[in-house]
Amino acid sequence: MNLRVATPLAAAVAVAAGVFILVSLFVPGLEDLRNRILNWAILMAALALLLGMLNLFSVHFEKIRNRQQPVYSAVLIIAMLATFGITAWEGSQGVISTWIFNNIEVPIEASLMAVLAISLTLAAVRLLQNRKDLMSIVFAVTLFILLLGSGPLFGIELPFFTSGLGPYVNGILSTGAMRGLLIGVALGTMLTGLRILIAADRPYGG
Amino acid sequence: MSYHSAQNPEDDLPDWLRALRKRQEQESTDSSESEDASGDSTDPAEEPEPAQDPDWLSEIRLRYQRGKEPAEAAAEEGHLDDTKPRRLRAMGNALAPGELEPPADQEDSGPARLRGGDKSVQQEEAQLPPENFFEESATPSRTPAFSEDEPSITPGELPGWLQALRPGDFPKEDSRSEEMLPGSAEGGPLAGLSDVLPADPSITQVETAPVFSSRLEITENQGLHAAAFTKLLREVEGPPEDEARRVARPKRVLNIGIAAVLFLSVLFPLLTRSQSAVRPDPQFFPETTSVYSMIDVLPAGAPVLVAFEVQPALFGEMAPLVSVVFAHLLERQANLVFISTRPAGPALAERLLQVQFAASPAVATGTYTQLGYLSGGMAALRSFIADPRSAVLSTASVDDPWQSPTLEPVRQLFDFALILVVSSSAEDGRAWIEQSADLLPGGLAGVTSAQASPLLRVYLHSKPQTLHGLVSGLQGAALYERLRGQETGLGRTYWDAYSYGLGAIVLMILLGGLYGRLIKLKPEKPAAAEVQRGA
Repeated sequence: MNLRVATPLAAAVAVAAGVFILVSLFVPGLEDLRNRILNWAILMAALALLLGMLNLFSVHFEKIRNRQQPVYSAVLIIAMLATFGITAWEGSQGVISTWIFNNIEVPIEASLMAVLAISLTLAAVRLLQNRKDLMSIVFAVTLFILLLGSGPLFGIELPFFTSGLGPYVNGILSTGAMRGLLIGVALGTMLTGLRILIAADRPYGG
Repeated sequence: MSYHSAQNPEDDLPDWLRALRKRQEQESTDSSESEDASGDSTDPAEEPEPAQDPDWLSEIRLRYQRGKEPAEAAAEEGHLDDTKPRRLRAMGNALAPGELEPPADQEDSGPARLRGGDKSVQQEEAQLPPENFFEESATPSRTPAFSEDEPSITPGELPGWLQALRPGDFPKEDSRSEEMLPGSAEGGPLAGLSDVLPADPSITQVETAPVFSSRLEITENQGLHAAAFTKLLREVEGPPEDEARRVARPKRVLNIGIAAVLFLSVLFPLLTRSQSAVRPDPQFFPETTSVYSMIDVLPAGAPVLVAFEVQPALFGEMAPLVSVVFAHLLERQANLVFISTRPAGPALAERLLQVQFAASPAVATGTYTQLGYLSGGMAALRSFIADPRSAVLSTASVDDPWQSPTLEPVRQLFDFALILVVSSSAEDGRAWIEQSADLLPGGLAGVTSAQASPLLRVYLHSKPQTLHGLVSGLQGAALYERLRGQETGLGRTYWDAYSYGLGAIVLMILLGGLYGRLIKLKPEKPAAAEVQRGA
């Protein structure tokens, strides 16, 4: 099937599936069919993980062939294949796969987060050195208030911040801003879904 | 010098040239006479014998000259001719008898100088006319030397037809080295002969290598131009490496200093087991109290669905928070059912249970249930919320988890006594809240990280209320432990470290702001701009 035939067909399938799921939320009696289609989506999403792994393998294999930092790519491929093979052999609850997860993956990601904490602290320290406009001062003052209100400093509680200013900023200012943000996200989501339903956006290709 | 021709060429010469020739001949005749009169030493007959020769040698020499036959003399002359340089032989051949008579002085001195040794030969050769002089002069010409009909040929100019026949321009100078040029031997048995290979090749001569000065001598103006060009190139290339290092060094020192202060401030309370920091007041966090109340009223054996949406990177923050809530659930003998839309979620939940609650009867006996990983994102979540039993799950067990005694009474999601969303990111918590809002009138309870709290806090005040309780961050963990009356625990232990770390961060931000805003000792941007300019 060439692309000229496949593209309208894919768009038709995607639009039909989206319209059906949307309609089934409002029309009673379509729940079973809707759940069946959603389960197909679950299976395809699981298959997409394998495809993603194959894509990762091909990308780094090409890097090794083209001598673009081949050591890193080789380490990635070896680690990926070893982990996949061990987990597929003994299961996700196996001894070796559990050991790999607990002693390699979790510490590495936690270490990255620790480095991020130091980097953010450094950025906050240098904030007023790099940018000296009004918004940076407002940002720095807000950050200062939230930090003072989030807990005692060196074991000493500051009641004005922890009981007054901190909860106010958290409960009123921050919540109001987040509601506005969520409304924007909802509108964006609706617009994106509508564009896909009318086939204006085709993230599946074509 | 006389020419044999059909007509006397002297008649054709102009008057001034004939007068010049006559004067030259007169001067030549006068010089010959004066030399004969003075007894020139170049005459071989009157050549004085060397003073150091003994008498017997002089007698032999005299007898030899007297008894020499004409043929022998001719042979000897021929023998001596062999020793002549090629140029002399050529000259002698060119001087045919009767055609051209060499100058009297040269004719007389020739043989004597040949016998005289190497120096005399060299001197004579040096006095010789150019090589082609006699050849050109001795060319037998029956035609008059000067003709009015033909154009005269000036030296160095060739006629056009001859110029056209030349294959190309010949090099004006011989490009070969001196060693390759044909030369005459200066010593030894081949002395005076030309075109001979040197007996002592120059390759055997060891000489000191010449020293050439590498100093470039330029004018002042050229030096100024070179300096300007160097500066231009330096600006294009960017700052030098040492300059970049000089600028980057304070930043690196600041990084290391901040990291060291943070580590020390966090490690100090942990090492000293300090519990001096006051825990949060429950009256300022009613959402945490709500979660505590919801769990505290659970009947024994109630099924509780735990959506464990935790990333490994934030597991360190989530561990004390989840531990205290799980401890409360296990204390209430709830039947925990785990599910996650993140691949690492089930593994992290299993890790937490095995590390923190290995001694708990529910964990030790394995009465909790792992539904596993739910792939498919928000669509799969919607499917699971609508019909949990029909959802496709990726479980570690081959057995159907819905057949276990714990999940046997559960048909729909609202059959769970409590749905607890443990989320490290706001998006995961939001997905659970929004997808289950119309199907769960009882709502959810959330346990989230501090960064997800501001976004999820919005749902606490929504109507209808979709989020009935929220425990967030280390602050929530410490508060929950306080609600439970627990004096030991991860929340309490970390709370002092959190307090000291928070104090250090606030202090560093304050000092950094004062340094950059008020003191202005050394702002960064001008220095960086100078480096960019390559100054």
